[in-house]
Amino acid sequence: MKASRREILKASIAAGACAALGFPVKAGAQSAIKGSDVDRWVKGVCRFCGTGCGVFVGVKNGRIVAIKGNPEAKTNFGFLCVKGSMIHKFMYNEDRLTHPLIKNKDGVMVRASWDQALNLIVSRIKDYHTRFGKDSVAYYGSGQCTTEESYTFNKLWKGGFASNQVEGNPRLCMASAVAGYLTTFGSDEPSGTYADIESAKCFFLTGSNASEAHPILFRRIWNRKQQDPSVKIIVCEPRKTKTSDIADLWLPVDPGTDIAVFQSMAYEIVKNGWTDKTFIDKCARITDGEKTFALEEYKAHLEQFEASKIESFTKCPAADIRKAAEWFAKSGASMSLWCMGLNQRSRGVWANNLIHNLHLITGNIGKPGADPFSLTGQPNACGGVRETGSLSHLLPGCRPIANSAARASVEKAWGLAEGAINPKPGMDTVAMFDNFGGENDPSKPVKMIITSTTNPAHTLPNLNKYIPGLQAGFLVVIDIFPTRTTQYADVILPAAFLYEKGGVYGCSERRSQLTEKAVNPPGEAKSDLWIAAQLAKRLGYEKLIPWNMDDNEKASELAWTDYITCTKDTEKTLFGATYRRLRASLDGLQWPCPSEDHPGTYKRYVRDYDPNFTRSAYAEKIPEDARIYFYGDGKGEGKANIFMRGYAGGAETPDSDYPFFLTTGRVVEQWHTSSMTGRVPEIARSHPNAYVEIHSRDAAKIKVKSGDMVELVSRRGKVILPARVVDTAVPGVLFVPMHDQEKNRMVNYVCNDAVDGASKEPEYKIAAVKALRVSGPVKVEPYLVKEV
Amino acid sequence: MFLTAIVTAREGEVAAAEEFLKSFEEVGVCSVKGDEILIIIDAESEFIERFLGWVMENKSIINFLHHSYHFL
Repeated sequence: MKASRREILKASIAAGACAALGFPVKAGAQSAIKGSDVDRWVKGVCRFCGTGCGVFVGVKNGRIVAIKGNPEAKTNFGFLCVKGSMIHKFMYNEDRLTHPLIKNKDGVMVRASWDQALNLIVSRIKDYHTRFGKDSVAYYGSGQCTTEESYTFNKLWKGGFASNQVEGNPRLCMASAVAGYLTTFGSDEPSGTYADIESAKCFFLTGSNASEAHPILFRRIWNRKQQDPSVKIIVCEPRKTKTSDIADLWLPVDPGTDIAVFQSMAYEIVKNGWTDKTFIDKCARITDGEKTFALEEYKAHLEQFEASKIESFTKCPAADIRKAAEWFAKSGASMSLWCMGLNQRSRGVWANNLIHNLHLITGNIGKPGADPFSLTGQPNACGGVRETGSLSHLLPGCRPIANSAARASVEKAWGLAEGAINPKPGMDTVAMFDNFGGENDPSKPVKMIITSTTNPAHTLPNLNKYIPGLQAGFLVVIDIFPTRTTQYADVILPAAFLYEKGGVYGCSERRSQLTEKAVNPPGEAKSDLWIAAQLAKRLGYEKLIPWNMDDNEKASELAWTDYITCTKDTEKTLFGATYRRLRASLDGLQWPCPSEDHPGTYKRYVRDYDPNFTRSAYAEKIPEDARIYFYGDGKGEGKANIFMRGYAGGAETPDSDYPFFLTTGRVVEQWHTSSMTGRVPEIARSHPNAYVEIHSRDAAKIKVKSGDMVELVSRRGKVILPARVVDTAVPGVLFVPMHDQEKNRMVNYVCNDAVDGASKEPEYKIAAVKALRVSGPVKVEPYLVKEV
Repeated sequence: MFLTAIVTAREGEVAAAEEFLKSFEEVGVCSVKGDEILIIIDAESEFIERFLGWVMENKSIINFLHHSYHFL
């Protein structure tokens, strides 16, 4: 840095930022921050995790040159994490896919026109539909498509083809949270919002390394603690991360054993009379799913989890479990936050239920700062997939496809004949790829999959099992960069990036926000919405999906309007969130939002907050004196379920052959399979490759030092990674980040594809492995898939 | 172009974190509030590529959040 720049830097003191953040501003400094050299700033949402950070993208000469946080956004208040701040740095990477590609008879991908590519896809769909039935063609979408895009593909399949072979990658990350909310409350998604963070008096973070996966929300939690030091933070996880660094109490656990810890906390609460009996009596029932039980019976059930009885196998100190239970129960406002650590498990739904139990027995719901809040990992998993029902068992509005009234309502909204929607749910993600194969393989009924904005050849667990299907079946991939999945594609369609098309994202807190189109896509890249609508048109479904114009903003508005009309009468209504309002808003709208004059909803299930209390379909069944009413209750009593669950650890636990637990996750700089973040030079250099984190005690046993190369072997596959010897894990537990694209470092070859029986979400978080030192340190080269 | 960022120090280690940040000529420590330190970095230099890694490894620092870019 030259002296002159240094002087400018010192003089300016980033006055605008200081003011926005509440930092002291030096007099006269404001004038130094001026003249941003962009032509315009365009409102949008961050492209990465599920926080939903508001951004402004800076456009100069038709290109995006900068990104800054939107200070008016209620999610991030102007802050961005290191990933979000560098989005523009990969958008123009030389690897962008810019024209359609078709595999020729020699297996080589060759350039094609859009007409050639779309006509080939259409002919294949027609052919497979005729020869193998409608369910032989599947759509596999993403929590990164816009809501309009997911809705359109979903409508084409379920309304056009009468096939429910529609899945999305949220099945791999959020399905257990969905099933947890549905089974406990009868309705998906949180009752509260991020705003509860600023009112909470006790945080219970479990299965979430928010400091790396959700750094903006982590900051809000930490800020809350700084403002009020009496606020307690409890973190329960098998690694001592930067999240647990801010904890007043860290509950270490072996992977999967937290289910016993949650039950043990419940036992302490019930045993000591820290329950909210009035709340339980009015708003909850204790049940095993069939019968109901009294509180004393629940207590007797929980006694098997008394803290001293579970200490040895959970590795969680009994005294700390008791302390956590007391803090949680007595705080006055406790907020739980969790993420994949709970969801990606063969007992993910149970884990979710058990967190809800803690809230229900203590009445920690329906008031400021008290909420069981599931964090999401993708920017539009909630809005785009859960709310539009773009999964094989759902319809728009998160309505079950098996429900005849739900089907009738959607058939009417879509102008279909009665009975047009297939009542049989399609395959879940793992089953879909397990059943994917070639035309001549009668054991594989799925012959064609169109993937959009996702990378299953990297993200599926136990990849050795599923790669042959990806190779044999007819695979169409829509994406912006080459990935492991494009390497198996028969057709590749170049996609427009979010800021090159615009659209709505719905984040973790029920908030839908509109990103405006800022620039044109490169080359011949097109939005997924245009691709879906063009396929619909060419397949004869133009009446069903008429938004096939080239003007993507117009098409998006038509699709959005169709969606909010279709879901108007559901509890998740966004009918009042018109494009006009979303365009004008700097922070979006939270459902339920039933009318254009409604401001959106902070708290669900609570009278005077939740508009469903006064909507005719709900009001007639809600007693006038009910302050809290869980209107999704299948029994019609307005109650939530306190589930009597047993104990089950992971589907696979360490043994003499595979003595270590393996768990996987994110690092702050990289996101998902690093197809985007890996192309940001700063990130690629600061955090290029995966590694295995190993406790020093374990490292000593297998004679491994930091930097040594270690082979991890499971019953399914192996990887070779450099070791990082640490003292911040529970001994016996290894950790590997999931982003690396180099085949020998892709941890999903090792992961277990056992799924939760209810949610069908795979168990990425628990596997049994052995670890062997293979060599001393070697230079580990960063790797990105460059060729399709 | 410069970027501003918030560095969150571990409790009781604000001074150590501040000293660490001030040791880089390319970093301007703008302000300190509680455990948070507002810094500004020259985003056009290659320094940031290395700095990010150093920040993440520093034991006095819990979190690093980019705030916004500024054109001077």
